[in-house]
Amino acid sequence: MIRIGRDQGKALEAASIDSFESRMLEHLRRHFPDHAARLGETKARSVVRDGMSRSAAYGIVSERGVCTYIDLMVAFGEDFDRSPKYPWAREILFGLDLKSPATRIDRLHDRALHCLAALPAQG
Amino acid sequence: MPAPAVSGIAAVAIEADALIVALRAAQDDADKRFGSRSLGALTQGPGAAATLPDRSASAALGEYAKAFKALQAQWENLEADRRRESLQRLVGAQLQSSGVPAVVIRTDVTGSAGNAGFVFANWELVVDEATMKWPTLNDADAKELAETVCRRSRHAEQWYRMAQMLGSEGMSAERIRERMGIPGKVASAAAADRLKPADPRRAYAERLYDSVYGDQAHARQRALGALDAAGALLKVARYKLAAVTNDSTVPASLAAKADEDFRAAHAAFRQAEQAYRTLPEEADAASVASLLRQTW
Repeated sequence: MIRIGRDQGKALEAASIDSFESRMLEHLRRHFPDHAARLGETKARSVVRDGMSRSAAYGIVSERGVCTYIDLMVAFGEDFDRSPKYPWAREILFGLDLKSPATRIDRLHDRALHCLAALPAQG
Repeated sequence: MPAPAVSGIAAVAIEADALIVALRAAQDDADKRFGSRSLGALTQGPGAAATLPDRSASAALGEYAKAFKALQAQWENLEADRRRESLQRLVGAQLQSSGVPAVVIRTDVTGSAGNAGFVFANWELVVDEATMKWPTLNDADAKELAETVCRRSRHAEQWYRMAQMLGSEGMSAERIRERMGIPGKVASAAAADRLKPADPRRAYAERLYDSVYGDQAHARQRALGALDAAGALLKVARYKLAAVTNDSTVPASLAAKADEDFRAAHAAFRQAEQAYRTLPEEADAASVASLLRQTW
């Protein structure tokens, strides 16, 4: 049987986070190229780390969930979760129900798309 | 007429239509390249080890998803009671495929849209009454309800495995009923359907039993109690915040304090929720719900 010690566990966790960060940066460059270019690598990495920390406060810790949360930060602003412009975000993230974090992040993404679709056209 | 634009991080403004396309593509990419694996140790509690790998689960969940989507398609043509019956059939089929006695689906006021809960004493799955009366069921709501019902019905399987485990140790149906508080007919079925010593479901059931009825039962009760208490405090903090937010005569310092209190209550609630999610039975049910999401 292979046993993993505490230090090895921490090293694996750190490696997992590093791997996530790298994949996340690539993801941002692919889907939000203008944002990624404006941010630059150092700031983008900081956004990813900030997104990990913020989403964790809402119980969202899966790679997929954190990825989507960071996408929304990039699209709507890093404070979208508390912005009065996006009350749906606050309603979902600060909700009392015990829906799974995966459900919450899907609901958030869904409402974000509805919000964009409902924006009045500019004259 | 130009499309509206949204200015996100880095002050880059993108037209809303283009942003919708980007977010959808990004979500597809997240589905493919970023899994349900947790980052860090936040969700690695005692529950993870209780999850039972089940090779047939994926196929059964596929059938469940298919049946649920069929119900969704029929939803607006069915009365609430017919919807409940359909739900009972598809949940029953899923449990039957795992050799677990069917649960009765009952509707009741739960106060939360899309909510459901397993009541082991009555072998019932209680589904939110208002939800069952929704005129239509869109894709997001259908997926969410399917996941919730799946997660809660997994608890029926867990309780049955625990009863089987006790039966395997020679406990009579009557004693199983008394010990676990489950209906007699379920206890009888479990006592007659014992798990062999080498069956991996036995170790799984032992782990669950330890959490619910055994050495860890007090810790579990504390976690559930803490969650209830944190939920109640969060409700109070939310009402206070709403009251000051809607009152322009309230000094800014009081409003700021209410906001601060709300955030603290929310953080405490999420912490209690995290402890709840790492309970073995919750972690196991969540892993099945996660599998359903992948299958969906």
